[in-house]
Amino acid sequence: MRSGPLGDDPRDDRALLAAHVDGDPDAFGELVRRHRDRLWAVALRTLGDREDAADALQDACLSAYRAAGGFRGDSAVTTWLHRIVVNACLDRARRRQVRPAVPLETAQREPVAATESADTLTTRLVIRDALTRLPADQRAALVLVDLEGLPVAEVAAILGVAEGTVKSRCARGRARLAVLLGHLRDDDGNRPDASRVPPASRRAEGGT
Amino acid sequence: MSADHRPDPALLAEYAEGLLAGTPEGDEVAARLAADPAWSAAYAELTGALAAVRAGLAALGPVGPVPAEVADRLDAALATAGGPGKFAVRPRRGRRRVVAPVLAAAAASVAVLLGFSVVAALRTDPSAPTVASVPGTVLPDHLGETLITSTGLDYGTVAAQDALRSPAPPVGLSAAGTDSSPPPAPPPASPVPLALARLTSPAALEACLEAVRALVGATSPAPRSADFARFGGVPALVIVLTAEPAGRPQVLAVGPDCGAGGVDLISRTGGTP
Repeated sequence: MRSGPLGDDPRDDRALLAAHVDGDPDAFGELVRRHRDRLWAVALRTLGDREDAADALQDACLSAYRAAGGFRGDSAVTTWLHRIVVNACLDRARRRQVRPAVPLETAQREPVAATESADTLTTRLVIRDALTRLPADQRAALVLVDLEGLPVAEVAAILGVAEGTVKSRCARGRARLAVLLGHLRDDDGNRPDASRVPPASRRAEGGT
Repeated sequence: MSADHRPDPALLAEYAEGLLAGTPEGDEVAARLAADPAWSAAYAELTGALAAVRAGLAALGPVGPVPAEVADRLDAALATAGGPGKFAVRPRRGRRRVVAPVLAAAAASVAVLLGFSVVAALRTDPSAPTVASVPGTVLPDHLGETLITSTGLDYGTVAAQDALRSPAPPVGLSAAGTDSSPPPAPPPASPVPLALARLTSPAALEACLEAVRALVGATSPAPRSADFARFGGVPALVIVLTAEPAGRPQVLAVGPDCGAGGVDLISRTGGTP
């Protein structure tokens, strides 16, 4: 993940954050511009709704802006930013639980889709839809690990849980996706982890 | 472990990922796999399904850059936020301001489900013979849990559009609010085609949605969205819903008589494989 300078500003992320705390009016904006594409992707994948993602990203950036003085440097700035964005997304997802997610993130940048087969496009849409139906914590872990390709250790730092918990959430999320996508049918009508929490998961969730 | 000893997909998924190695739960799963054909069959099915899931996730590809309007919001918010730790003035774009791009995105989603290209699907067809509209129609934002929209888009097939011989330039994705120009306010909801006037009555619309629900399956949830639009040039209410238990989205295009003793089905796609 990028942590160094981008464009014309030679300062790295930590220097930008420190400059912001010291009153540089442009430093935080530069920091956000440097990482906003990746943060946007996380927000959009996690929430599955363009407007919610935009609101969550804005909430998160303002929170980070105000809380910058509290950054202690025990993680990368990008990890810290991701943590704030993911928390904003999870908060928003919890608040809207009564409202079914609608997969509206057919990316505005998908003219490339016009050159792909209808089957491929349909598959993408169905997967995006299924992602929005996962429990929020599983969705966040899967987005960061499987879609954004972040190392499990970094995802653990972002989510503030043990690495085993990240792996468990991913495993359960994938199994649930398998059912949602029709690759796997649960003859009992039960969905993975919908009601049963095996001992291993309880240990992982509580053993941070 | 399940008390009834039936295969537990979540537990098997953790076992398949190696998360139970060296634990009593892992040993117990291993013993079940060795002794119980139901467990070994479920495990084989699961591992194949997980491979398909991974492939599907990998195929999603990148989201792409942050949209210009979102970037603009961020810049504006940060520019007016004051110093660190200070209370910020928060410019927030109202929900309605982003309806237009959201609707276009929703339309694109449906177009994808219907199995043709997004660009082709996002054509408008102002010369279509059904352009007459219901004057002054005010649709509710939602009916129950169903998002109600009026995009006026033609969800028809490419072949159908060719047959209409009424070429219109593609709306283009920039017209969906994704360029850097600010979207108009209020959102430009398209007029409801006159032929669909009957369905603008909440009671008629509700009856239609119920009829669609019944067609898909008695246990299916309420449709997610219903769009007053066209299909292949014909006025149609385009409905998206997800039927249990397979959970795959379905898209139905229905005509003006939907709910009046039937569904008046024009097209149906998606759903349980």
